[in-house]
Order: sequence, then structure tokens, then C-alpha cells
Amino acid sequence: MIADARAAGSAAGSATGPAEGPPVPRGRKRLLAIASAGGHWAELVRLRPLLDEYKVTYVTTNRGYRVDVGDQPFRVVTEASRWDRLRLVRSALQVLWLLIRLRPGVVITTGAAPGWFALFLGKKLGAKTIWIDSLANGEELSMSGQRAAKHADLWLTQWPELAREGGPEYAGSVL
Amino acid sequence: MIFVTVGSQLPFDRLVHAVDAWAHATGRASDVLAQVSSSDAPPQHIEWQEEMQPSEFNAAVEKADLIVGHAGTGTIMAALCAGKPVVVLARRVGLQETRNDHQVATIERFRDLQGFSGTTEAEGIPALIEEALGNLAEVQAGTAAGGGSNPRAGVGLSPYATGPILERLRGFMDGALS
Repeated sequence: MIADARAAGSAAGSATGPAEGPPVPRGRKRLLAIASAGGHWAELVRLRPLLDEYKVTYVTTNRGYRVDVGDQPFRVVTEASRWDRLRLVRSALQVLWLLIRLRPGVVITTGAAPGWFALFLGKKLGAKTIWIDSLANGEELSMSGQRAAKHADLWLTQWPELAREGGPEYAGSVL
Repeated sequence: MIFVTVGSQLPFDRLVHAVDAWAHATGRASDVLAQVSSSDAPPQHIEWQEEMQPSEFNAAVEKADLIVGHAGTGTIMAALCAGKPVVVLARRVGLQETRNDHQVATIERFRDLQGFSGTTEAEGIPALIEEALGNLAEVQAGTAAGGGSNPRAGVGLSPYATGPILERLRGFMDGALS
């Protein structure tokens, strides 16, 4: 998988173009925003006005979601669940490749498996990591959410009742 | 038009068949479009297709008066963001419809949102559809009469997140990305 020109250019630290076009992004490093198709992606996209303030690359598992992110850099990886080992491996390798190419300073995800890989591997590669547990996990934290905890620098739940000491923090929701 | 959607991952025949039977019984079958995923038993009366690309899905939501779906957050938010009422049925793990009962919890969590209604029982779907259509008719009658007082007219969710989560994330990312 080959990173798009814009993403690869900035990841390599090459000179940027003249001061025209979109406003100057907040922050020097790249932001990787990743979520699986469906509700995970729908929740992530609700943060777009904020995420677009940074040098963001969006990653999901369905090519058709490009319509949701305008002209922002957009990449697709294989969807995976813990029931399918082959796809898990493929998904993890694609995520790892993206991380190596883009060298994000922050990885933010709303799940599920590819987001978890990005969090786990991104952390190993030095990124700060944000796990936002899905709104769908209204009564208990998702399995990937619980596993994410160890690798997340910021762990948010969207339901106040699920916040706890040593666990996720509640800071509102994407609704 | 009523748009039925089961999400992108798994079929959900219990929902599709409930709507199919209701639509047939009430003579509304020609006014329903369903996205049913890879079902072994597709509906008999209503129009259906297995999958939809996101752009197709968005167009169907825009065109619909009412969304009937599984209790996925993506489905619920897509409907409410488009200002459309949404009726949902929760997938049950005991019926092999999903991997855990998170959709049952989702119904409880969204219950207070304007324009949302949900159930865990397929038998409850026709009544919720009728109620939602009744509310829509009232809103339309109210609008036609120049009144804007019907509380159900306030169906809607802003397209993007607001509130404290934005400041929390911005503070974190500003520090980490500088």
C-alpha cells in the first residue's frame, strides 16, 4: 500500500507549498484518525471539524466513505474481527505500513479491530494514542476498549456511568 | 418512502420480515426499500438489495420519511442527522444476530432522543412504525396549518459533535502534535 502524495510528502518532512489553500494546520505532526465501517466511522466523522484543524489522514475499511471527508487524505485498510485470523494479520500489516509511512504524532480511534492495531502499534512507534469507546457500548466497555486501555494515553467513554478511576474518562460524547 | 437498513455486517431477517409482513398487510409494500445484507430469506413483498455504498445509503436516508433499522449507532445517527425519525429493533445474541447484546443497551441509551424509538421484540415493530408515521402526519398537518408547536417536529441531531469532548481532545492533541 502506497501513501498518497500529500501524506507521504509531509511525513518525509519535505518542503510544503506556498501559503495558499486551506488554513495552516494546528500542530507539526500528522494525526491518524481511524475507524471501522459503520457506527465506529459515523462516530469518528462527527469529530471532523476538530480533526480537520490538524494534518489529518483518515483511515477506514470501506472505500465509499471518501465522500465523508472531502479532500482530506483518506486511506483504506482491510476490515477484521477476532473471528478471522487471516484478515486480522492482513489488517494489522496494512495498519503497520501506514504508521511507518505517515509517522503520526497522534492516533485517534473509535474502534474496532483496525483501530486497535493502530493504537497498539502506533504506541510502540512513539505516537500518543486516543481510544474513544463507541456509543454502542452503553452498558459495558467493549472488549477492544478494555484491551485498548493499556495502550491509550487518553481513554474516553461516552457514557458518564462507565467512567472510573484507573479506567476511562468521561468528557462528553460525539452526539 | 420507508427505508429499512440492517447495517453493513450481518443480515437481520427478524427485522426485515417484520417490516415486509406489515407493509404487505397495510398495502404499503411499494413504498418500502430495504437493505438486507446477505440474507438467505429475502423479503417477499418490499423492494430490497443486499448492500449499499455509503453514497447510496445517504441518498436513501435523504429520500425516506422514516428509517427502520437495526439498533446500530451508525444507523440511528444517520437518520437523526438527516432529521428523519428512526424505529429500531435490537439484535439479540441469543438469536445469533450479533456477538453480544450491546444493541439492547443502545436502545436504552438513545431512548430520550427526539424521533427515536426502539424495541427488542419484532412484534413491537408495526406499532412503532405506525406511531412514527402518525407523528409525521401530525407534523405535516401542523406545518400546513402554520403551527410549529408539535414537539415531534424537533427531530434532528447536528451533523457534528459539540460540547466538552472537543476541548478535551483539542487540549490533548495540541500538546502531542506540536
